[in-house]
Amino acid sequence: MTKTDSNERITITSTPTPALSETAAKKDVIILPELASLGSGSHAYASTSISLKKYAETQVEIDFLTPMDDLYDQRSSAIYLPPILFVAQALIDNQELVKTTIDIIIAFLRDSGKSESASVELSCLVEEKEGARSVKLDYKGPVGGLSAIEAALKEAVRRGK
Amino acid sequence: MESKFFGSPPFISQGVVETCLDYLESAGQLNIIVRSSKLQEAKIKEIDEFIAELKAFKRWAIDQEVEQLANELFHFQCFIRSVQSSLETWINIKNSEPESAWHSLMDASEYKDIALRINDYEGIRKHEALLIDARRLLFPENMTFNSPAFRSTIGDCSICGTPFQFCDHIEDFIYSGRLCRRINISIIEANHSAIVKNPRDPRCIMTERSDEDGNMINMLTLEPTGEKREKGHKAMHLTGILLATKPLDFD
Repeated sequence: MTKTDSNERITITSTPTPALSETAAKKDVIILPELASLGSGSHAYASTSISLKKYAETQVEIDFLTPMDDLYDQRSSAIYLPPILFVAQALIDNQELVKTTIDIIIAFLRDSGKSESASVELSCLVEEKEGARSVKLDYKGPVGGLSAIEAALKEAVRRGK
Repeated sequence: MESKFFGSPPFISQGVVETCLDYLESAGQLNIIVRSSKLQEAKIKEIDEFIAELKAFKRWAIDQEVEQLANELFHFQCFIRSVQSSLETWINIKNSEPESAWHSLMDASEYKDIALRINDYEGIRKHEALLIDARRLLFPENMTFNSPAFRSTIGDCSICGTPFQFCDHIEDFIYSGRLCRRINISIIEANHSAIVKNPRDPRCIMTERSDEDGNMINMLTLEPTGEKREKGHKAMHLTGILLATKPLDFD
């Protein structure tokens, strides 16, 4: 676990990469359902998923992992963003992809009226070259601390964890 | 067309805004708990009429694509609704209805938050301070809340009415004087609920708890409710609000 300051917490682990369809594999960023629901036949997407996709899709190639029928709403004070997967090939093509995407997420939250101190939870997965596993970063902290994700994720990928 | 609050045509934007400011001033005179309940109740009703006229101007601004004016009028709509909700808070307190008073105060706070996203100045910050003081003085410091999780249908867009996944509007964004929300949502499956200190919706309070003998106690008034539950071994019965569904006026 990496402690970045008293308010934000970044945890790095490794996780199996979700299977991507041919169409999804051509995108840069994939919005995933709740990771716990990935193994089940019924994927649950965070209630912020559709709005985030609408906001981001003019700036990055982004799509859902699967079509969605319903949403999962966790009504605590934290803002639950959907887990996102950075596709390996897209990261090779565009080394700024993580930074660009995190900046878009920060702008999305600000434009929807969330304060810098609002608590947010976000998981980012980076697909490793072979595709079987991904580096997973879990962020819990204020909106204002989200920009710390880029460096932490780069370092984790460099170490190969 | 003669308007009860805005006078006779021709209407100009500046005049409409000044009328809103004057109206806020007059409503603010009653926004103190000791003022007459009769006058406060009359003002609560009158505010509905005022907002109806204000919305006619807002609709005109939307039709004419004058987004800045539409947003400014939306600011006043939310600010005035916030004052209306705080008047309801005083009435509910005076009528010994603390739970309703809590809900009204939370409505006032939510309207104020949206108003502040559009315009920020001393008048609305003073109103914000009044709401913060009211919460501190009128309600317990350590309240507990429900934080439920559930699966729901996606619903429709409050701006354009189409299924939310098919339009371009984004939840919680302000579009020409209206707040985008997902509406017509159905809950498919309740997942779990946690007891928390910081909920998404502070209306979801725990309302009753059992004492050592199983008597249910109102958590705001501390009065026994008259209901008795089975005595639990080292356990407490709790009753609370899982989901508050009263819609606020953000259209």
